[in-house]
Amino acid sequence: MNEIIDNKDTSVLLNWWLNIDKSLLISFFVLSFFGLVISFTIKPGSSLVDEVSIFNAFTIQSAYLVMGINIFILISFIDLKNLKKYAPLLYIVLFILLLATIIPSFGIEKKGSSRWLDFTFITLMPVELIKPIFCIILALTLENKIDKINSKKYFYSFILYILVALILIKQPDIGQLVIVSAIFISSFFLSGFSFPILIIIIVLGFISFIGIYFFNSNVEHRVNSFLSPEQYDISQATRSISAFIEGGFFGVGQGEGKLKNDLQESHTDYIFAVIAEEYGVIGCLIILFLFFYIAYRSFRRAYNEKDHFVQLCLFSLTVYLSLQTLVHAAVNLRLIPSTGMTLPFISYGGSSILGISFTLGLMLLLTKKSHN
Amino acid sequence: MKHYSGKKRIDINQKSFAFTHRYDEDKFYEEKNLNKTSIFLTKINNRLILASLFFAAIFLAISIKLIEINLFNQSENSTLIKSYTEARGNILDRNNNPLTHNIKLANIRINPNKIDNKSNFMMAVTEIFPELDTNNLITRLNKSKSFYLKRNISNYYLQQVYDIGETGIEIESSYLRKYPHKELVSHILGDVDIDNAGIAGIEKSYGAKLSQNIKNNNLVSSIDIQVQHAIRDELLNGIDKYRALGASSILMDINTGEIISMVSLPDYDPNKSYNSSDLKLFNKNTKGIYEFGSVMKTFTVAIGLEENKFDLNSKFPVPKSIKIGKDKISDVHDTCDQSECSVRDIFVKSSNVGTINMVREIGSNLQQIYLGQLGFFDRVNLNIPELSTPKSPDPWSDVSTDSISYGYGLSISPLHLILATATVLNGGYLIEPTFLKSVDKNKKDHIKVFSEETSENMRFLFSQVVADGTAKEAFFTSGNKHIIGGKTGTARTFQAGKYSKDHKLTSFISAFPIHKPEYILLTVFDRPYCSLDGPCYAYASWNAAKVARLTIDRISPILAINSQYKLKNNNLLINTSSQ
Repeated sequence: MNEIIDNKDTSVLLNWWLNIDKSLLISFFVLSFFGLVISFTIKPGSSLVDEVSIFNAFTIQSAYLVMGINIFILISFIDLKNLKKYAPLLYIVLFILLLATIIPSFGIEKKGSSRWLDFTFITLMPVELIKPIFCIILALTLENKIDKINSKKYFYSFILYILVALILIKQPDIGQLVIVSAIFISSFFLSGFSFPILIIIIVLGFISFIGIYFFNSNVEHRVNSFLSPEQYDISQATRSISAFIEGGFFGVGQGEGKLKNDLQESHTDYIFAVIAEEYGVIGCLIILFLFFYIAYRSFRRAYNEKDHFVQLCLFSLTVYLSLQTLVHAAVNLRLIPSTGMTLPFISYGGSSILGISFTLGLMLLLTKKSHN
Repeated sequence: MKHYSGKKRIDINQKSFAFTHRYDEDKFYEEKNLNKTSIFLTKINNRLILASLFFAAIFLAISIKLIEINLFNQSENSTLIKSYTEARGNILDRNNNPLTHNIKLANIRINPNKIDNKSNFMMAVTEIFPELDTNNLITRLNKSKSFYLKRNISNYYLQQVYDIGETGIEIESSYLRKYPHKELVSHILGDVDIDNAGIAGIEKSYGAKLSQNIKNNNLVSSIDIQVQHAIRDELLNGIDKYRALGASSILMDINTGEIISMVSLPDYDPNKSYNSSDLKLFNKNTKGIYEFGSVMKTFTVAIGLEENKFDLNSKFPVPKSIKIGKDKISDVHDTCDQSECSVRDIFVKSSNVGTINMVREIGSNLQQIYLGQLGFFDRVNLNIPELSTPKSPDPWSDVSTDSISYGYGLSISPLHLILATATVLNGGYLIEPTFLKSVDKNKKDHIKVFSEETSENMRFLFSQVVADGTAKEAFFTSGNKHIIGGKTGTARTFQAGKYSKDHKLTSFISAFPIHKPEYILLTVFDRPYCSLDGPCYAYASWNAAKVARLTIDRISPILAINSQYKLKNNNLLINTSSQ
């Protein structure tokens, strides 16, 4: 990777420019722009207010966004061969980091879950970084190879999934477990796995989530407060809905919203409602459309692709990006219980932005016109 | 890899039944694979289309929901806003005395389309409300959108507006939130905005309950308004006497975590909070973080006792000064006559040097574990918005361990301090603070950090501080001194990069009755100076402890501390109350 960047040969740049999906690139830039605009208005909920001043929150967030933009551009320079070669190594490193979160002396516990690692200069949430690489690794395992019949590939990828899933249950981080499971299921789906069996797996998955509901008081509380908000003192979701109503179609204006003072997690889990209040339904629709367009470009490219590996990667990455967006929006609109999902590239948080820029970079890389 | 089987192979591309052409095996498999690939590709592409449709449907559904909320939820919308204009639940103190009132007033809405004679209307209205901006009124009257002419007006004005006799005048009832006790409970109650939505304090955190449209939406809080008044009064006297910048105090039920009183001075009048300065709006007790000094020695001793690192009679060397990092630390007064002093003497006389030697016996690891369990690294779980997260050293060095042992280097809120001290003294149970009156006094399901024995020893030490230590002078003439235990703390405040010599934060934390504590009281003074009558010292023993003594003397009859105490010990008094 470094060699390519150091080598300022114009042919590399030209080659990149000719091959890259420009409309996808532009939509990523638009997304980053929105992220920056919204980071102006981010007033971290009271959970952050002491650690960083409001100005700091903006500087930190914009620094991460600029870093994110650099990352997705840099990654898009990598070629497919190198990606296949180095992805497993990167995956192992990230997996060890993820594992470290549940080891008591390494992980940091906040609000009853240990999801973070503290490297003095940054507090990292490894699961955010492992998700895109997990897509690549699953694609590598499940790739359809004509000359090689490997019936054990499903078994191997299941092991890969279970290892990550167990760590996420231990943390516990049910929201991320949903996303990782979705990546797994979607990879299976596109690998040509028998459809009826897949349905059975999904049903079993649902049953085990119901099991988690009964054994995890935190999840139980969230689901209960979704089902009957009036029994709980302050329902975040009800407050979130009122922000949508107050915002109307055009919003109350940047920085004028009240939600961010009311909700502790407004800068992460409820950023969509903040956008709704300040920029109105129009702002929300623009952001939704942006993600929809990214998904559309990516699916279209996958459809025209012959290389099964590229198809698999693009598909699972897109499912991950879209699902995270949709779940976030649905939580904010009180369609599903609160899960603690961030809105990609817009919610406050370094790890989330780094993980998403990784994903965007990979999407740019995979949607290149030619992989030679 | 090619599979050869014994079966007869058929060339699917065979043009005729006559085997005229040469059978090309390689070509056969290549084509078969190609065929397989294209079937596979079709299957994959079909699945891609299916998935795309699925996602497109969800995107569409969410977009529709977004629009639907705004288009068709107008009825729900208006009830949501209307609920604020219905009478908001009142907040009561623990004896059901109301802390808030709602005054029924009216809002006047104008529908410009239904105003027949606009210029007449203008004249009439400006006569009633001369303070209205006429230009603004004219522009709004010329638009078709209805608007509020005035909000929260009394019947006197309402009648006059009625008398104008226009049909475009719409009256809706409104409730104005009033705080009859003014400053007294300001930081606890918080405030509401013009729509009666809570913006601070309990008004905000319990806003959902208070604005429910049910018959009894009152909230019974844990506050005792009589005690609150007594404590605030004593603190104000203290500020006056010791010329302090501010003061704060918390009185809490040591077993249940109910906050009986919480005062932060300076405070503000919530009835006109719009012209209060940030300084006044700031709740020192929950939002401020400070280094408290010697009151933190409680935890060093308690950890050592709990871990059997030493007992009350263990001796530690107390030299004139001790080095931590680059600095030399010394004591204000002699701890005992010998070069080695007992744990009791070190605590009672509040020796920094001795405490540092104790923590070195305990070690950094145990210290961090216990301080973590006591909640010193996290935000307190109390249901008001104004909370703060402590500042702990990062990385945690040996110097941190030493300095935190006697109260520097770890900034916490007064609420953190009182909760952790309550745990040390109440038998070792962690408690959660609350503003709600609770009936459950059962501690069984609480986490236990310290043993009963450690807690008993700490209570003994606290009582010794009052009987024979740094707080002796303050309580000397108090009739309650035998039932009080406490600890003083004087900390230099950190200003402009160094610890100031002149500016101090003094505190006194006390529990009573100390043999079986029921209440815990923290009194803090911000930058006090010496009183004008008496020697010029600004230590906690000269101000915070003295104010605490006056406070306890004044509130103990309200809390009926003495009578309970005597009833239990001497059986001299018969408690005739129904409780």
